[in-house]
Amino acid sequence: MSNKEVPSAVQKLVHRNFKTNKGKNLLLIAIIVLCSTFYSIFTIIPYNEYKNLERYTQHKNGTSADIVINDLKDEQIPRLKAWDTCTLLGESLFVSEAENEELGNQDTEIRYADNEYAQFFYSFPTVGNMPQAEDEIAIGTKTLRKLGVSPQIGNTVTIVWNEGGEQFKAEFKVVGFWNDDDELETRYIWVSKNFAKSYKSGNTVGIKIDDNTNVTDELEKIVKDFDLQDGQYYLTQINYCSIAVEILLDFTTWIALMVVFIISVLMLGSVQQISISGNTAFYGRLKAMGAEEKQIRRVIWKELWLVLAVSLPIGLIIGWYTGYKLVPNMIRGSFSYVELYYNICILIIPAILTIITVFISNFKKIIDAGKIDIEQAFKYKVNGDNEPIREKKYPGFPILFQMSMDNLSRYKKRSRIGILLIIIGLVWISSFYVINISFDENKYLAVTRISDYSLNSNDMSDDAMGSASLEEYADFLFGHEGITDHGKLYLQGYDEILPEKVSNRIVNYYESNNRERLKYMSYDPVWIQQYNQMKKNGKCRYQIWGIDGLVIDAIMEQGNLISGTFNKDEFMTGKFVIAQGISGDEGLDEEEPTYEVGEKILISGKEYEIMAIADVPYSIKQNVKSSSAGFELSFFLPSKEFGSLFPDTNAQKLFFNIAEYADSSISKILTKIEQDQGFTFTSDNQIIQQYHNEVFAQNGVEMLVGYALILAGMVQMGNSIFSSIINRKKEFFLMSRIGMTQKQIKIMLILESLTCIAISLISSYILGLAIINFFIKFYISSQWAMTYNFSISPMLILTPILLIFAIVLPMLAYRWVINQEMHIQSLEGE
Amino acid sequence: MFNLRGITDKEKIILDMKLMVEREEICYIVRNNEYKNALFSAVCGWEPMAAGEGSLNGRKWLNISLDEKAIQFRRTAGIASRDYKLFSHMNCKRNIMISDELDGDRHDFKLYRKYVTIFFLDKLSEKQPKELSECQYAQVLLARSFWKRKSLVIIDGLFDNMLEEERDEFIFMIRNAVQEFHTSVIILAAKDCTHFEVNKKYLFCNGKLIPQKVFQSIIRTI
Repeated sequence: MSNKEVPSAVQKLVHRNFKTNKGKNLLLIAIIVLCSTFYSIFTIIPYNEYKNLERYTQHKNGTSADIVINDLKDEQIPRLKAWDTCTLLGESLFVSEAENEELGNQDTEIRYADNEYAQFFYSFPTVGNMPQAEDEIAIGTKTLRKLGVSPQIGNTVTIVWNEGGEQFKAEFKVVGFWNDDDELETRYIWVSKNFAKSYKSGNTVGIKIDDNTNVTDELEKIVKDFDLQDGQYYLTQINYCSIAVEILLDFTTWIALMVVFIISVLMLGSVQQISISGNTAFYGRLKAMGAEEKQIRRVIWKELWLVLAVSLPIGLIIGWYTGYKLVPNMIRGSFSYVELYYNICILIIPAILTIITVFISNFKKIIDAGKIDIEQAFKYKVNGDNEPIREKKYPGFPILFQMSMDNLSRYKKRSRIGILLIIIGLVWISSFYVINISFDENKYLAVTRISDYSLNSNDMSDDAMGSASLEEYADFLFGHEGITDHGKLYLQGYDEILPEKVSNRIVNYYESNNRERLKYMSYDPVWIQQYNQMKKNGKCRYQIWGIDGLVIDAIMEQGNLISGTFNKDEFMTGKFVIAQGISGDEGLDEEEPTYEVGEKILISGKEYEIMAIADVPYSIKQNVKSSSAGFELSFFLPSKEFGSLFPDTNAQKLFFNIAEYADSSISKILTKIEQDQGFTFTSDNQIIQQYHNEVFAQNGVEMLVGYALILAGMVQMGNSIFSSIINRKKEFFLMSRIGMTQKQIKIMLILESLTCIAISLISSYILGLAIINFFIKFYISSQWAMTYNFSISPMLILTPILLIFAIVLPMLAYRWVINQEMHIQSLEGE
Repeated sequence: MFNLRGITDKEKIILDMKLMVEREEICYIVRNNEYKNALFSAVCGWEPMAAGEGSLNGRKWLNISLDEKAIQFRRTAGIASRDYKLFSHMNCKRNIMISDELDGDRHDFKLYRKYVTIFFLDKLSEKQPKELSECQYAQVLLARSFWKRKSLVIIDGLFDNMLEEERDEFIFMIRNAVQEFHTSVIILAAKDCTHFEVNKKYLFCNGKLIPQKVFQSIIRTI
């Protein structure tokens, strides 16, 4: 017989065996489906995290092009287009900045752009087209709304711009619009090429470089070949490596993948081992019929791959849908929004991982199955796992319990994994449950909000100059019945030259320890650009904040003080400022440097003294966009003093507390303002909802893993109980023939599984209590938004479920075995 | 008294049985392997009968539920067969008296001492099954089957592979037990051990159970 051929009789036996092993195969399918589902989830989530981070970084850069070149000559463009590594080129003509008053300080460029350029800069019309005629424009919806025009094709909008010191004004027809992306700093108004050409504007191109090429090297070649000057070009390609490292350093995913891998290997291996032990006679028969070791192995592999072929696609499909459902809640980070990135190719990873898991879990077992000895195969085994039997005495215990204990010791290898998984699962779930319920809403609220409500202008940036209508609403709201306390927040940003000692302090901070902190920031090219600029010419962004009412009280809480003193009366004189500092974990060396207490600072030409350095509550600056990617220094002045420095700047944000009775009426008013004006408001309810989302994002995966562990443990134990009953069916008949009734056999089997569950539960309670009381308690005490809250509810809830499981399963298995035996007997009778 | 008249259609072979065993009588059936399971199952009452009836001391033997049969075996009948192994985790003494524990009764140690004498168990009582030789194992199986003065004991192939002297010893033990406990015994054996002095003898012929005397007269006629 050749090695490759399996004789037809063997083939028949294989088919028959496949049918007989229906139960085992269904179990294998279930495990592989679970395994591939989890692999898919844990692949889809990091993939989407990576893509969102990539998008976020690109949006912060303003473009997806790798290189942007300004003032290129017309004849150079075709040559650049034909550049061997240039895969895509987008072309644009700059006209001017839009100067409509309604736009405030928002950077809005008027340009002509081809489709590629518009797409590079995330501003391609999703409704309508790019403009063709001179009186046509395409414009973002947010810009349109600011200009008081509703986004509709055919509407007209007036744009104001400056050309050579002279102001122009023209009316355009809207032919296309898109939703402006909140993460973008600059917004665009696209005009036709003819219109742009009439303004003798310079060419700007964005180019995409071949993926396999080093963009920096390529830029050097382009600069040399096209004779480009410094400042004429800039590199925008993001640091993919840094993003990837950030995602890869998220150990939760690795732990989750490891847990799935270990559980799957244990379960698949155990099911296969039990199946092989149960089919020893079958493999012996195959061998007796002339099958070689390789052929027996091939038979098992064939059966396994068939099971895999059925279960893998199911698991991938379930994982795909579940993964994408979970992505919005699971992705952490400071994204303005989370986008879903669908890529079917990503499923190759979970598919490969599943195949590897199946292979590793079965390899040795199948090799051993091939080596089976024919004589051994037909021998009736009484010793379970073939371990030597030691005498055990349990005086006083009923014989059934003693027999069940003995049976457990016979099949201990099989039960051990199930018990272990249930223990780990229960302890795991209890631990994370305690972490979950220890999240303290009140502590969280105390840190994440300073008032019951806050109302934000629709363009919260340091160059937007606030909102005049928000100022009007402030007068209306603060006079409303039920408002108990209020405050306003003003903001104005501008560039200032830092004194040398301050800039040195900053440079020392970022470049100490072998530039460790600077390297960490390398994922953000805009920040690095700002930093380099500061280093080169001392220029740094100042954010000057005007505060009053409850905002001052919130900042001057003693817990926020890093250095100096808070003296409200002195502060209100307008001679002092509070500088924002960020406290570190390990003392002053860890603090991000700024001016020091007592130093003088010039703000808009006027000198102030630093009264204190404060850790400003996050909620005050929340949702404010920084035009310098976070590289700025913040100083707080009383709003009156702020008004004298920046008289044209309006409020950016309002804060107010309300009496309980006015809650619903204020909430209705704010909802209406939000709908009419696009202002957003934040309430305690929203913050609590956000808090719950964050809690879920932090513990969701861990809880899922815990449930998976318990489920895996139950499946494993169920499998072990079921297969030990099936394997012993001959023994049960002998028992009944020497006088054991069905009831006694059932009780013995129930005692077996109850003992397993009891061992798991008792161990889980002991271990769980120890871990919760020592490690988890210690962990919780180190967390700012947590208060230790002891509970073992998951264990208490799962205890009766597991006990019922331990009673019902052996009864079902025994009934099934008896029915099967009766069925076989009736078939034999025929 | 054990009385069985029935037909079983196991393995499509009609097995027409007329088997009667009086008290203190040892019925010796020589059978070939072909009918081993069918005959054994029919005698034990495990095999559903196509027709017929059976009784043990006047009580119904066939067509009762599995649980009733188990209790009946525990209290009135015993099986000694190599397939019906001893529990490996209990010593011989507990294996012999297991029906007491299953019944929830206390062990009758006084009776056990009698068993020790009849079945030569003095050195075996505390041993584990794995420590026994083949013959010792069979001894304990036999003692277990007779435990609690059983009315009927069915012995299947217990001493098929034994030497003649060993078999004699076993027959001696069985005969003593039968006299002591007033038991009816059915011995199923592969070989015709004619030198045993047994009360009755049956043989198989074409799937039918025939008394030895009738069989011998048939042979003589041929």
